[in-house]
Amino acid sequence: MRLLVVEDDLRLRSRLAEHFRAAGWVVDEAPDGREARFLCSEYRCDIAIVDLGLPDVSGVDLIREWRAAGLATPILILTARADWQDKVGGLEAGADDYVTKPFYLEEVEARLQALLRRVDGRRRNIADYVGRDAPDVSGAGQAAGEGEGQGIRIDFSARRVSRAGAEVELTAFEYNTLAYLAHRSGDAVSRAELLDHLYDRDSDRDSNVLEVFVGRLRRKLDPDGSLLPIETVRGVGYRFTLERRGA
Amino acid sequence: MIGLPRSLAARLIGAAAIFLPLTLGLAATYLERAHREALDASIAERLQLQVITLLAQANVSDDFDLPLMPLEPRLLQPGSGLYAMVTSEAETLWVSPSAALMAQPVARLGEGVPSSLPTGGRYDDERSGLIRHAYQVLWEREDGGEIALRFVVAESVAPRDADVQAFRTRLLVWFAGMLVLVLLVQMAIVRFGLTPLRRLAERVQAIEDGREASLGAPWPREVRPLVESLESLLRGEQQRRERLRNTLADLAHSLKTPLAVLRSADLASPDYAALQREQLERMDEVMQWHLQRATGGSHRLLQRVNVAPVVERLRATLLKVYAARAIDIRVDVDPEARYRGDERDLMELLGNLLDNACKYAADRVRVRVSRDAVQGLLILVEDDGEGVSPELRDALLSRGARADTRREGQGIGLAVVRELVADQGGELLIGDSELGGARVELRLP
Repeated sequence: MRLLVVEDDLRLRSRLAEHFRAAGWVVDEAPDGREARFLCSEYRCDIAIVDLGLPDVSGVDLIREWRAAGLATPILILTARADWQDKVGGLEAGADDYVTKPFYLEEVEARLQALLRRVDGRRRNIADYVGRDAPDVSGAGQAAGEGEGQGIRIDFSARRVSRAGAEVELTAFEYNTLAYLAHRSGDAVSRAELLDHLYDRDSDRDSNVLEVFVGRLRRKLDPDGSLLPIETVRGVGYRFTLERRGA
Repeated sequence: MIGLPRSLAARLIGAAAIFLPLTLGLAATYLERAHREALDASIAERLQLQVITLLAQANVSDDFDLPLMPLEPRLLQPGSGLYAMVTSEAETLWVSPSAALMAQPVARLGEGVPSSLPTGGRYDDERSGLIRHAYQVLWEREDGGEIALRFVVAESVAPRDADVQAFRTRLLVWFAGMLVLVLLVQMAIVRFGLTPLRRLAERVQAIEDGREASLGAPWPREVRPLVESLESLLRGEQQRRERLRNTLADLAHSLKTPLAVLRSADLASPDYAALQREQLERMDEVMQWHLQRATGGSHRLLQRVNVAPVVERLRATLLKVYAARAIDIRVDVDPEARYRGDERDLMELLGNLLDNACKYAADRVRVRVSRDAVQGLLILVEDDGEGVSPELRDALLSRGARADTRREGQGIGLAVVRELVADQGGELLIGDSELGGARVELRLP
């Protein structure tokens, strides 16, 4: 996941960035509206945190500008003022949720996870993915984990993956690749987009490395080749073929 | 476009300076015209008299004869300005000696008088610098025959014009003098009339400087509403300052306790991290509490805020915030419901109530806003959550409990609402809802 943090306070911004980088996210940092505009136009982020009190432009104006330009990325606002007028103003401008300062990083992460769930249409942090032609077993017993029997289960908050109840050991990069593809489930995701959302902009990007990772991921998730969760879209990139079941 | 002058006195004097000359000018024009008409009427009368005199003196036997001696001396004196002529048909019978120096006297005196003037007919006109009067008669001669005679008397316009000119000059001088006088009087009146406003400005300045505490009395009837409103605003401002000062004092006091706890804590203790977190949380709550309840307050001069749009905006916001839980928020607001105060305060009240309801609801929240019998506001917020336990209700409703003495898990929202409502002379009640959860009832004046 690629996260944009727009916050003018260096310490707070660095703490947020460190926290989410440690959780395997790609994080872009902007100290003001100008940098935020630039980063947002250069790198498509999956989610953004915007402080309302920026030095050069108000966060509300920045969000309104992005929404007017058609940007649909979920946005979490940070505000030092806890009054409702500000919260309502921010959400009316196009933000999706707010966190008031001071906050705990866990709270921000929970809010971001909730926003990502909302984008994916999920209600929980744990999701089961099955083949598109698998029988629908939603309803009784699903919460107990029977749904995962035929597919794979991703726990987005614990960053764990299991297949048929057995945990699949993934490296951080493999997990990120899988989580992003699952986030875009059903869509063909280009190699460039995948690299953008998995690597920091300053790191070396090599699509050959990506192929190696995807190959390894396929072998780990689907050793017997019965599920085929990730297919190669010729000339484009990859597609996550499984479908989410239940809420 | 030129804007209106900013000074009231300048407006009044300016308006007078524009309209007074107009009025006086019209009056002067009318007077001058009336004077000239009176002069013309008197000249016409004089000329008629001259004709009658001539008629009385005329003697027609074979010839026409007018003995000169009893005539008006001006008719005898050449160039006197009064001329006379008697004609019969096309023949000039007699011309007054006064016309002796006149170029073409006959032509100038007689020309233009209609030849068809009937017997006994009169004719008046003014041409070539002369005012003329003609009178046509049928004269019975001594031999029994009749002869048609026409008497034409004319007077030069020069004396009349000179008179009119002199009158005009006198008028101009008088009216100009009058204009200046009236404007001066007007300025004095304006100055006198606006004195209370100037005095008011001075009093306000005195209050600003801290020399006075109130605007004092008495004030003229027209200024009284303004003075009362100002007094009310000043009182409101004073109360606001007071509240702000109290808030800051309370805030400082409440923050110092957790600071003291932290400062006196043992840095090496294994519990230090937990203690620090606990005290930071306490400080955050204290700050939220004091900042949220430091509102503008109610004031009779404040506008009345339409409640419906505020509820609708909050509903849209909360639907977004609680999107994952798909809460059904039903709103029933009287479109005429108005809140007396600041929109920010209303949003704070309703935001806290609705947010609480959404937080604790299973999936349904109901908001009803109506007006009570005395035009007060009745706000009802209900949810289908677990409700508020009786002990918690008492804790929430007892006023004066400070934020740092509140019980765990109570939430700051309702406590803030309670304080805001009490400040505004309202009432907060907590009960059980038909929906199964809490029912918060708010009455505002």
